[in-house]
Amino acid sequence: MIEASALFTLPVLGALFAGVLAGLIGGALPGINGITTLTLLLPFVLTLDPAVALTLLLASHSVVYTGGAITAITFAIPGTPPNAAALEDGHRLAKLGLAARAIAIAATASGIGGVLGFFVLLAAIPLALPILQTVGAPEIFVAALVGLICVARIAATSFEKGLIPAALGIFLGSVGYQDASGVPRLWFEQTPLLDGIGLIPLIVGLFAGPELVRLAKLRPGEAVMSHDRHFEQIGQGVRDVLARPALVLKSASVGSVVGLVPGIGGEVAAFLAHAWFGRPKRHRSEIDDRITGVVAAETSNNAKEGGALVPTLTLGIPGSAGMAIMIGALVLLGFQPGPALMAEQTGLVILLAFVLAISNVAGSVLVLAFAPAFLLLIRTPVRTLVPVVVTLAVIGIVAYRGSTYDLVIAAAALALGMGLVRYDYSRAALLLGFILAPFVETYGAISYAAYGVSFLWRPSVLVLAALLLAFVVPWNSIIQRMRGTP
Amino acid sequence: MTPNARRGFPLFALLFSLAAAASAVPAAACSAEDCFRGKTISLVVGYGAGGGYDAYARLIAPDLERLTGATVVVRNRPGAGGLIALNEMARAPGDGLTLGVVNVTAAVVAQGLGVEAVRFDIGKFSWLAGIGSEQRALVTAADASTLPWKSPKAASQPVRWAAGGQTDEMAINAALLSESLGLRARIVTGYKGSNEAVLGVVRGEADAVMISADSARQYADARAIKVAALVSSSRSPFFPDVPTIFEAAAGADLGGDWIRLLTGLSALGRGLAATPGTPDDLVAHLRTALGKILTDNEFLRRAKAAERNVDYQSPNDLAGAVASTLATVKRQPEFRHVVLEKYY
Repeated sequence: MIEASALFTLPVLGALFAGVLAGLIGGALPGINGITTLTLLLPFVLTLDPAVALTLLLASHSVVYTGGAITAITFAIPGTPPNAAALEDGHRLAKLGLAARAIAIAATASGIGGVLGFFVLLAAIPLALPILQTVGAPEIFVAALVGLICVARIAATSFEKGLIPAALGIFLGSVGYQDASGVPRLWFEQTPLLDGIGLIPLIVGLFAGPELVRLAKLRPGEAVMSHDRHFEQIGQGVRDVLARPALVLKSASVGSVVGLVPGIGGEVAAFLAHAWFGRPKRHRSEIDDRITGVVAAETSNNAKEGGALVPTLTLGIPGSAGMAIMIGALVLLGFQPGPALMAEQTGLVILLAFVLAISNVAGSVLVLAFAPAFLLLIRTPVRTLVPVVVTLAVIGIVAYRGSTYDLVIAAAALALGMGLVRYDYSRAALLLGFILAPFVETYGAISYAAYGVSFLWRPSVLVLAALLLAFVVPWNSIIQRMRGTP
Repeated sequence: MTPNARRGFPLFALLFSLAAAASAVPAAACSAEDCFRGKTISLVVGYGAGGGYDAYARLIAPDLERLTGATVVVRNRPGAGGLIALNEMARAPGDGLTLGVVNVTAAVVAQGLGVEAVRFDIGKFSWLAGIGSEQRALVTAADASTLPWKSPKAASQPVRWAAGGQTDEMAINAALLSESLGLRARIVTGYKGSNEAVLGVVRGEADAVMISADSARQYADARAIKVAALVSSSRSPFFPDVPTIFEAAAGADLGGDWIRLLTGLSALGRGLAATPGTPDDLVAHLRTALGKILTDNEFLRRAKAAERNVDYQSPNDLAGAVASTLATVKRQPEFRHVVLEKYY
């Protein structure tokens, strides 16, 4: 029997700190995501005391997305796939000379999101089963569909600058095995394409690629990005997040709910929150728009893990891929996740909930403290920086799923990215289509196979659709753009 | 022809014949101790690090190093449900240096269905050992009072099974069991993995799902679902109260061939293979080494500690089972129709 008070013992606090450090570093290194970090740590912790071992694992897992935002913002290489949602906005801020502010925004939003996820965890434990039974394939279908509709609001300049790349994204998302049938599509006899186009090579090619080309063209000695007054910027970044409580709450709820529903990846939480709440608005400055985007994406992906712990601990059903490894660790340490765990090891469950909250806060504070030091890297001369970043990008791409073929995909994505940048089409819209379209397709197919068309009349579907159509879809801008008014 | 080339010819011919002779001799001559010494054996796993197949490979690797003197490297080549690794093995040279931990059931099914991406002939692999198979469990929602096809609802509506893609084990087992029982059934596909499929059952999107008994054990305490039957001829010590499918379906006609195919496919389980064309003496050395490892008490203790069930099957038994199941699949003209069309 583990008591929650074990949190205040030296080994557990030490494990928490070590886990946070490991998670931040693993997150910031492209190609090492939360799953890899957990898998690397797992063999070492099995000989430890269970409370210490589980604290170390959960602490590292809680902050990988916090660390992953750093490379997304500075180099346009997402440290982990969910960080891709904040990439375009965050990197744009960095190019405007606001790298420190953007990192501070991401770190603060991540920390607050994680803590809100903790409250959701505490509140939702007794409701785990009803929630699981209510949010099913039809509801996921509607949520993803509305996310796709929001593409209309993405491109700041014109309707088709968002719509065309979104359609291209949907097309690219349909390469490989169709989830619902297992039949491969558009694979051109190339076996690596069977599992579809990888998210990381696509993102690195689309976003980091054109950026590297730009850097490579700079004259030696020319500044990579302007950077000054880091400490001021960091304070400003923290205030930016605190000044947007409604946005933070909305994004955290999206993250937590996505976390509660097992099987949906972290990138969906971040992209949905970004699509729903993080889009540009008329009569708002570009910087404001970009900040909104970073806050929405980074809050939701950290809030997600609080939600994901609920089914993991209460039902023994992992809420995310990382949580599947947590379940493995629990079993190897002699616990059986499920209702029995809740009843017999209440202390452990409470301990884990607090570890989640504290490590999120600690992760944010560490990033805020060390951001200026990290940003010194950007002062590195271009001829040193470019090879380093290219190496990072290549490692990230190959490590993602152990395939060198993904370098070819990244190269193709780079060419595509250059074209999109040149003609001012939205790369974010392309990613949104790429990520959400398979969800619309798969969960639409499951809903139809399970219920026939009647799934559209389920009360929960109608309520969700009404709420989303009323509050999320940008009717004003859609109508204005269709009329062609500026 | 230039004088130079003419002068070079006999030397080249001599070298060539020496090389040919050299390559012909050692295949028969190396002893168990020095065939692999100083070489590197790749143990290919068709799934990602951290999964079940990966765990077996990493358990076996150190002992295989000790017994062969080779360096053994576990290589994860995930993708396309293990097909990418199998295709790669089929292309690798038959030199005994590329081995694989293979999902034999999935490989036989993919080949039997003529899945597009298959570039291998599973019958040509050199089988080294069977590691064991897992029983299949039929899982329903906890509030289902009876087996899905016995419920009052089944009279008016087809039984809905949850599965991933049409060719994954959940879908194939559901199709074969439905065919065995003559059920009116429908397979709901699209779930990513057994966890999400189980969740589909919890949400009421499907009535039942067939998953491995190992995965089912993980849910044994989950209050939302229950294990309703095991696809096996005898009860499992892990689920003493759960009936076998034969007990549960007592009185029903189990459609002979189909239930045999279902149990036969499940029994193939996991196997270790060398690439096609590996010389007999190398195969023999590897078989001896792996036979020793998989029956060694210390190895079995480590496997048990890692929650991995090892049930050694001799290479000849495994090769025989692969050949006969593949033949049954090919002989059964309805197989493709039943698996890919009938229940969708």
